[in-house]
Amino acid sequence: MTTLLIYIALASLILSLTSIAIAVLLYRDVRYVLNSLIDEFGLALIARKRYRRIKRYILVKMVCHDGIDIRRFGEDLEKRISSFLGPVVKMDCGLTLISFRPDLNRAIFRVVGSSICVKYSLIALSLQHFASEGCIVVPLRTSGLLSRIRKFAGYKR
Amino acid sequence: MKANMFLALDRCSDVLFYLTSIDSDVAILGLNSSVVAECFTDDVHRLDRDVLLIPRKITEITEQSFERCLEVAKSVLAGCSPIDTASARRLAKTHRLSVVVVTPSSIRVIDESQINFMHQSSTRSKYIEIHMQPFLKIFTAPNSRASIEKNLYMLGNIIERALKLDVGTVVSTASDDRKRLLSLTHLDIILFYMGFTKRERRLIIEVYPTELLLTWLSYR
Repeated sequence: MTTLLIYIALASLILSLTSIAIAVLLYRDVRYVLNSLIDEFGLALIARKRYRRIKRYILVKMVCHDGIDIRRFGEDLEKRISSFLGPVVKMDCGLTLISFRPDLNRAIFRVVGSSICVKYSLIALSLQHFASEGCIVVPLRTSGLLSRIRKFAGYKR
Repeated sequence: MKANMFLALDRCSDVLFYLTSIDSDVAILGLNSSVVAECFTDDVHRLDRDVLLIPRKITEITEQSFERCLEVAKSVLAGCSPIDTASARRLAKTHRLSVVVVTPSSIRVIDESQINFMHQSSTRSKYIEIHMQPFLKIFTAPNSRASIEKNLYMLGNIIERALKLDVGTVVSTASDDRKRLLSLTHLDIILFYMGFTKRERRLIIEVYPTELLLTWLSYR
């Protein structure tokens, strides 16, 4: 009886060692197959979000020198900023002029894209007058809410 | 108190345009001593708010003309822009108040070793003043051999090292052209773009300039 138990223990030991060896040898292959299956069925998209898109509003003040028409500059500003940012950045970041008030010298931009886009847009707005002559644009405030920006700009009394 | 320690404009109308339209919340403003005397000694140009005006004189120095920078009258806050390593190291070791001006022409001699020397100085009266406008002028000179990326990278390293060792760091606009003026908001955005935190930016734009002013007044 004791001999039988020893044989059973030895057999189970050999079985365990063999299964460990097989698992180690096939680990990379199994992982590759599992990842392929996850990619195939789109599970990666559910597991984590790859692209995070944010929306921010930037309020700017425009200061023009004598002889520059602020209306024409305001209408042209979006094109200036787009050319200053360049097509590669524009692939990731959307910048749109959504409100322009020449009487208050204020304008509001909407930035849509990844989080780095706000940084790029702020630096482009700040330095655009170095690239081409025109009014000086000073960013005043950034917010995620348009209503808050409009209130700060003095649009609502 | 927001401070712009140097504005290189030389016409009174341009200075007033800056104070009223571009930076309406600046509290301390450094101007060339001749401009302060010309524009604000009489009551011709009046401001509707209180602004502390500091007379400045910025000089480029070499080892031979080293004393020329520190011999400026005590009523003027001098800034020295070294263009060779020997004068930069002497500025770090002098016992007097020294403001080392960083521009694209002096950045090659003001590196992280210079910050270390300034930190090791026996007196805590060594300041770095970065003039931003000359760096941004590289934009307007497309044929220039200088790379703005490399300059901003070196500048970022200098500021980072100085903040780490608590060496006073001040950033000034140094604008000399009415059409290419920079405000303190622009400076804040450029520093944000370079990766500095809100606390670090407040140190550079508000705390260290006030400390420099108090140190200068105590040395006079």
